[in-house]
Amino acid sequence: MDPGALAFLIIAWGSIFAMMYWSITKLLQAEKQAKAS
Amino acid sequence: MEAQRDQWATKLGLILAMAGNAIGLGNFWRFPYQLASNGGGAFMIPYFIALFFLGIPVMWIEWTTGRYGGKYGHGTIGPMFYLMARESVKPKTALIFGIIGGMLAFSVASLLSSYYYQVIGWSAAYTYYSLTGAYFGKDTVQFFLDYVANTKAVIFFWGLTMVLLGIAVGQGVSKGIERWVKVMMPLLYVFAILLVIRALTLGSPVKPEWSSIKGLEYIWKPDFQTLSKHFFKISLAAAGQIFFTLSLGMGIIHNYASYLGPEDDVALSGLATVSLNEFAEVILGGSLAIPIAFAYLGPEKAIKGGVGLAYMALPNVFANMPAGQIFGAMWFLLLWFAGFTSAIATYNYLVAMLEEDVHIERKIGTWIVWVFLFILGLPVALDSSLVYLSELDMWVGSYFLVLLGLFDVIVAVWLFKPDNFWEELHKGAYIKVPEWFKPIITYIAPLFMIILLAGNTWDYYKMGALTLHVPKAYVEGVLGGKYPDAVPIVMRARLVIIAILIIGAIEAYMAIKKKYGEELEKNEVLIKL
Repeated sequence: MDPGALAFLIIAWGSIFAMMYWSITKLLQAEKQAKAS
Repeated sequence: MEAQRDQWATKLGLILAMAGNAIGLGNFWRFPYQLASNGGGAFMIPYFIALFFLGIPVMWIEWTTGRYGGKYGHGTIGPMFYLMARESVKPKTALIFGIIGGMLAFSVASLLSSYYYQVIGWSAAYTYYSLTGAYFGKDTVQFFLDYVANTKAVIFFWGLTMVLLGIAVGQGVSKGIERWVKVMMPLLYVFAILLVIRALTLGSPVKPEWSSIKGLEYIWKPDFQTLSKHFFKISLAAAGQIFFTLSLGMGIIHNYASYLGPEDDVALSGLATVSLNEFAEVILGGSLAIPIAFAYLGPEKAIKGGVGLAYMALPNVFANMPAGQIFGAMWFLLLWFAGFTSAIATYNYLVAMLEEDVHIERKIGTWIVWVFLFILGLPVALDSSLVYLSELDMWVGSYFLVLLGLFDVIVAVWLFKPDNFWEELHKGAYIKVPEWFKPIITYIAPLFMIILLAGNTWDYYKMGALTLHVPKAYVEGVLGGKYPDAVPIVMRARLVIIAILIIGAIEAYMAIKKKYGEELEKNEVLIKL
């Protein structure tokens, strides 16, 4: 695979994965805390 | 404040429903052909720019507007816009914004459904045809054309889809919609992931120079040369795709958010919805149709596949692939799930309208809407040339979305006032949106939409879509019909759009007037301290 394409793919996929993981984890954590309090 | 409305039972259910709302045919059917026909890597650059400056801001605006409206017992845009606009203009002026919003959202929810449900029906039919191998060994383009001309089959699969939709929506938000999406969304992800694994391990089954990795390379190789050459066209297509894929400018995000509690988070939830949708679109949707088509059909056919990529080109691939019946059925079932979970949202918008504005019980309202949508969808089902569908899509599926998105900002940010909006966005929020995002929401997103609308209007003008006399080039080149036979179909579609806009405007006017008639009579600016 072309190195430029690979770099773009890694950045794009990585950012989306990171955003998804961060937002869902934070949401579930906050929800847990809200229920506990 | 109104009596307690139905609310989401769990946060996970809400997020899955919102993701299901956003993840639709746009992710797996529209995205690949938009991407392919707009230069692959050249398309992805403006796509991410539009996601950041347009998609995320408008998503937050719609969540915030929806929750605000829900607080007053409203799940439809007319009264929501009225309530927000009256913060800075007199009630009678606010009424105009309510009517515009209600009119656009009603036309999108009803007309988009009239053809979108048909496409979901195609997916149901193709799931069956894949399992039975009906199109195997046949010309798949002709097979598709024969299918859309087979009125009985089209109505059967479309009707079946609509009955299931009616059952899901009739059960209500927490007991119906939420339960259905909790099953369908995980299945959708599982099917998509399995198909992606298969797609990326295809190797070079036909020619050594054709492979799915080459397809990925086409998508991800940044192509600044093509982008600079067709900058406006590609940027418009990318921004339009962001609207379509995130279900923005349809009224359905507002509607789902209206079932939140007044202090429920919208900031992080909106962002989670965007990220789940982008995972489904960019990572899963982008790794399916194009890579598969590159491996089996070669770059030229894959790029030129256009709207027919999913239903005409890919069946040809499944017919020649080991275990093609299973993978074909999985692909079309994936499309069906994606379409179905989005269709629930547009359906629910119309039911909420009857429930809240006309006080018709949900169970009865569901089947009234069913009959209405069936009548509205019949001309689509009966037109095998697909000209009627294409004309509706030209207006409802793209132009109206951006127009409603622009009114979202005008009402929820400008008229409601940016500081009020910011405060409303952060009520009960699990995150603090950085302050530098405020000018993006207030100025950059609307500017983006104005440019998008201007560009679309210019494009439509050049294509001949804006003239009363329907030109031959428009009918044949854009809608794919036969001239002059298709002209009455185009005119019929336009008349239906106008009629639905008028009904939507009247409905929004009546709904607002009924509840806020007294303050409309006084017509004084309401100042809240």
